[in-house]
Amino acid sequence: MGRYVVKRLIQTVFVLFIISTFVFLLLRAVGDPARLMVSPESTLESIDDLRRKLGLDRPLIEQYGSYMYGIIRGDFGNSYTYDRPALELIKMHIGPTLQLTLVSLLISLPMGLILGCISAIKRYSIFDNIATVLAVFSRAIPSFWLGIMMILVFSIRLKLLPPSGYGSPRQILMPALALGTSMAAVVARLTRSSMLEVLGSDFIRTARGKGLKERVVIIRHALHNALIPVVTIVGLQMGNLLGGSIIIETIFAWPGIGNLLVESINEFDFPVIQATVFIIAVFFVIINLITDFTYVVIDRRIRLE
Amino acid sequence: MNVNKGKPRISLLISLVMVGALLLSACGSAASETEAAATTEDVSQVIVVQSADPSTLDPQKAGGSAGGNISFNIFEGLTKQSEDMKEVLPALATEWTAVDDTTWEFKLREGVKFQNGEDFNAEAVKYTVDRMLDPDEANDSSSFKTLQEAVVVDDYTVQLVTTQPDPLIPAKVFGLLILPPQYTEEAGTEEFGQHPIGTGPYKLAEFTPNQRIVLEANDEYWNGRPAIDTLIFRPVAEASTRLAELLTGEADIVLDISPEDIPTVEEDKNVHIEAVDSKRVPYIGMDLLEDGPDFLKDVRVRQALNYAVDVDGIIETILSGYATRLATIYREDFVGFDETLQPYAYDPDKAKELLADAGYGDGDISLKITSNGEIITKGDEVAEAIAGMLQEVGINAEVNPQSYQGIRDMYIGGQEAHVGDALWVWNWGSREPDANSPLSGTMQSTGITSYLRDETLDAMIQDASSTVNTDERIAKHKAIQVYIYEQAPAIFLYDAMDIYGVSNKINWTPRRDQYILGSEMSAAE
Repeated sequence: MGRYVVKRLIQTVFVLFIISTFVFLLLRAVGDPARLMVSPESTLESIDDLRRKLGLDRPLIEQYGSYMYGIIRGDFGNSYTYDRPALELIKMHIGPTLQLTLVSLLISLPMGLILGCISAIKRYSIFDNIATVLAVFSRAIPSFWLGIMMILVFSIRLKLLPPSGYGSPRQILMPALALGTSMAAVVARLTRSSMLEVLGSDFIRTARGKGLKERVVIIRHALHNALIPVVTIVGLQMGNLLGGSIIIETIFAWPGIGNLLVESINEFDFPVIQATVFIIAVFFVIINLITDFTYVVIDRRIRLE
Repeated sequence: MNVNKGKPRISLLISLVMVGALLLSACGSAASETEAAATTEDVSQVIVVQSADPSTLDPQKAGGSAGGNISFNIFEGLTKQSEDMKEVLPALATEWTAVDDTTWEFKLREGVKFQNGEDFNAEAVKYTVDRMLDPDEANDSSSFKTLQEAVVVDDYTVQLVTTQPDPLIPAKVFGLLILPPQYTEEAGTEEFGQHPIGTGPYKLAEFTPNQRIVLEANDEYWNGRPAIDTLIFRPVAEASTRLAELLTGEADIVLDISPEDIPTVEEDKNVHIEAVDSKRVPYIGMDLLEDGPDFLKDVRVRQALNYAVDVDGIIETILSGYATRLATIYREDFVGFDETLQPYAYDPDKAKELLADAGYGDGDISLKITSNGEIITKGDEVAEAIAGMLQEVGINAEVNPQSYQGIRDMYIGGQEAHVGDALWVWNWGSREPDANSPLSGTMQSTGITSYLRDETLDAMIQDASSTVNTDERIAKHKAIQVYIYEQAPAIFLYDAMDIYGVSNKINWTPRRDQYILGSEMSAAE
């Protein structure tokens, strides 16, 4: 396992290197921040002045060199618009995003697992059919539409929840639900099929034959084994959650890194875009690592070599 | 199969995640809850929801209006403008006179203190001007291109010297927000942007990027403490969410209401619509550069494009009537606005005739219109409508929708690269009631979004902008209007209104310059 971890960590560094290079080049290819930043009354020369001030007139390779050197030292440069370190901005915005992602996971994961289990146990029952239809719908509905509909129903019609903002537990409910619904649907469908497969296997028959209570058979034996594919998909979906939070944060004015990313893209704030994408990439990679390591914890037969 | 061995670890993992999440959600303060509660009972606090969040409150750094809305509560200029932008009123300066063609002298208000106790005087004005003109410090000196220096005459008299005659200086110094020299130096650029101090009616209490900015009434304000105790600015990018904030009573003033949402606001008995002619004038830009499309070089084609577009129809259908038709890019409040100049009528037959005269038959002209919905309100719909109308007169017109960054990158300083289309949606705002800024930005050869190289017009604009005598300036601007009207270097549209949703609990009317000033708000009877 030790060697595996080392190997994976080296891979991780490589992936992050590729991503940061890619973002750097892509941004330079799409546009010129100086043109977006000059105020309307300026002259053509002031665009060049600004470019010089931002260091964008230097040769690409030189810019790239100092960018990479900065990353190694944990310095992503100063935001063009905020005039403060990009990393400091990310520190301010990462908390709300993690909070939203975790709460959304806490809502969607149990919901998906429970629905999936019941569906599997009561296969083809009315409950199973309703759950299937619901899951298909939840999977198909785009999260931003769901978010706007929730605002319409819960805020405007029922006046139960504030439409947006950050700070109180009431404000996290709608964005977390909007973000997690699709994940709950995936987990429910997967748990159902995985459970059905396990429930039909020999060791479950044996367990039942031993005279174990049905509850024990389901939870201890069946669910536990059915979880392996679910863990994989949850790992992958975590990435989607982070990605989806970009849209959800914009709709609900949630002050997370998704919001920061959208704003910095609007302003062509290169240092902030680069830093945000890098940090999101780090999260993706870490989640993938955790997913892989979790297999070992759940199933001792898997040896990661 | 060792099932039991793995299980406790999973539960451990799950419990860890749960505890973590709970801790995180507990970290958030419950402040916004109390915010909402307070507004339902009294109006000592006003919550303003706008689409963008300023990145800094340093008035010499914040170019966009998101920062301006807020800065103008904390800071003050030497003068201020009336709500309709037509009049220049005293603020930190009590009176001003032109000493000679290039020198304006301002008498300053005595006994004014900055919020940290520093004295406001001529030195502070000089410091502010020096900092603004220092290329390493500020990046928003563009309105003061003509300003050369500030000269201290005595403690409460200061002269502003310009490089050429500039009649707009008294109007422009509304935007010259005065900084406290000592504090600004001590704090440094970054810190000052986060914790600004001015002489204004409100003090900054909290600035959390992308969450909220809280301002509190300045008890020591020289012109009396404002009626509203607390002003809160919140950014909400999504238009439908902003509307929801208004309808649920969470917000008192909401900016940028979409024209199609107006009926929804009007149906609600707790809120109403306030609209005001905007400081920004939309138009359809034309690529008139040397290597631009040939057909646009013929003035008859440019006029035909103007005749082909039913601007009144666009105003009625797409903008729900919330716009004022204009004959050129001159706003009604601009010095020398010519009300006798009738906008191009909607006359497709005449358009076809002009096109035929110029030698272009049905389908001979193909063009694209770059569109964007943020540059001008409903920009994509407006461009679609115009494309349809151009097709009616035999032009193959097609819309090329772009992102906000995309269209800005194409047209701001993009003349050399020349990646733009023949036509594009664009707009220009002016802080002053004068055409100088839009003309020099979009029609003079040196303008950053100018695709026109016309020496006659260049000279006319230069001449008008340095004429101090008002009557002469009016005559010169009238001549420019007639000239650009006839030359038609753009499809002229309208002045679209800024639309606000406002709670019935407060009295407040929007300003043309888009600044949201707490000192102009009060509780409704």
